[in-house]
Amino acid sequence: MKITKILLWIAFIGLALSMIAFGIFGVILFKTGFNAQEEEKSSLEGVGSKSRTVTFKLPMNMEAEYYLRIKDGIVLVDAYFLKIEKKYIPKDFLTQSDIPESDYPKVMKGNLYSMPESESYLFIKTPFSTIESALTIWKAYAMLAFSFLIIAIYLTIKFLRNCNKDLFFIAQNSSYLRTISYLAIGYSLMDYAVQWLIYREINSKLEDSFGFSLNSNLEFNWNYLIFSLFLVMIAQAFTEGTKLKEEQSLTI
Amino acid sequence: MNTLKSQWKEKWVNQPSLMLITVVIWAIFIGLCIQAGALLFTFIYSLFRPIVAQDLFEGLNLSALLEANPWYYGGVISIVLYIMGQKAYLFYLMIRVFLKINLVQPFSKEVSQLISSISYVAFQIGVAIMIASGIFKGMGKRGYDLDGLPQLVGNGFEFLLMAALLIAIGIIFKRGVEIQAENELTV
Repeated sequence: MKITKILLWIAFIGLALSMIAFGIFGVILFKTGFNAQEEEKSSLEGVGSKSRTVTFKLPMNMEAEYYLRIKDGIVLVDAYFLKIEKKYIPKDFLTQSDIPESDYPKVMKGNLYSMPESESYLFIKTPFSTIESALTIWKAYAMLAFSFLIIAIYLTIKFLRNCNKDLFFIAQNSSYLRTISYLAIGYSLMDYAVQWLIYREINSKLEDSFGFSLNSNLEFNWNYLIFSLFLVMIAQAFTEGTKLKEEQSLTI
Repeated sequence: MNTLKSQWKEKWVNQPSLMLITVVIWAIFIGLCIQAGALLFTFIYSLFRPIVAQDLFEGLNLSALLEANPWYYGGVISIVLYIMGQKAYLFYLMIRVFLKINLVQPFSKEVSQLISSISYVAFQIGVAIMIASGIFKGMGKRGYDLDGLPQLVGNGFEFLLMAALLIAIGIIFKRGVEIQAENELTV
């Protein structure tokens, strides 16, 4: 079996899995809107015990988490928390205190919470409105990123199909590679822009509520950028290859 | 030494954009080497002074894991160091491609071999990251605090995608070398 055929099959599987994930994710995204607290409100009447945790990943290793704990009819916790690494919070703002044993964030001081088993993180109790805009940006980003991924895999399939038919040096191939590389460049820039936007949103809300700003540590995805520049170079080589091939066929 | 210097000068004159990218890749390569070196140093140091494990690299705190199980601690850091080392090697190979390639006559045996090597290294990194992520998830479920370690190794899928594309490109480059040689002979 030709190696291009194997790669083609892998790409097909990748495309199918991405589309399934895109579909499922899209339905969850637009049906629930990620407002878990709102969802729970209607079904809590007469509930004796219930436990639910919802997590949304955000940049800088931050997480927006929703905790619901009901025990013997008493609501122990029903709130959103921003999970932030302690290293991003100014040191003078942190004063440790003994934290009682529990499986949900417990108050340290004011609106700052801590989880017993987590030494490196701090939980900040926050209303949904604080994270709402960050989640909206994140949703748009997730949709765009998925679309970029699906287009890139689709173009890879087209490229591999040509290779499988022994059509190596044709103008189409170099344009496929160039488009994939532009998508990757676009993705790496978009990724950084989204990180910055979410950081700015959350930071301004924290500044208003607590009077401190987070130490920024945004990460630029160099892997994608360099790989895409590498692909641009390869695409250029393919253009030269196409010319060579044309010359060869003319000579014959 | 002089030929190397003249080669550099020639490349800057003929392919300035490529050389500019090469400089950026050099910077990333050096950054990755420093990252891996710093983690290796603090890891060895932490075996003698456990307090160092509280800030191994950019606030990475694995003191709880070191306290709970030093063997797991050593294993986890070894995996991360392997991935970091391979990433640095990948960028080193890319530098070599950028230095070797000539966009007027791009197909050469050396570049073709380098592209094949890059694809294998990318595949190894992708698989290693996926295995590492599985291990980290398992350890997390068993109650070990791994701090920001999963974020440090990154995502394996992108490397696998990159490997798949580069394997195909490597094959085509081999064909390109043949065509270019044939053309040169014809002329």
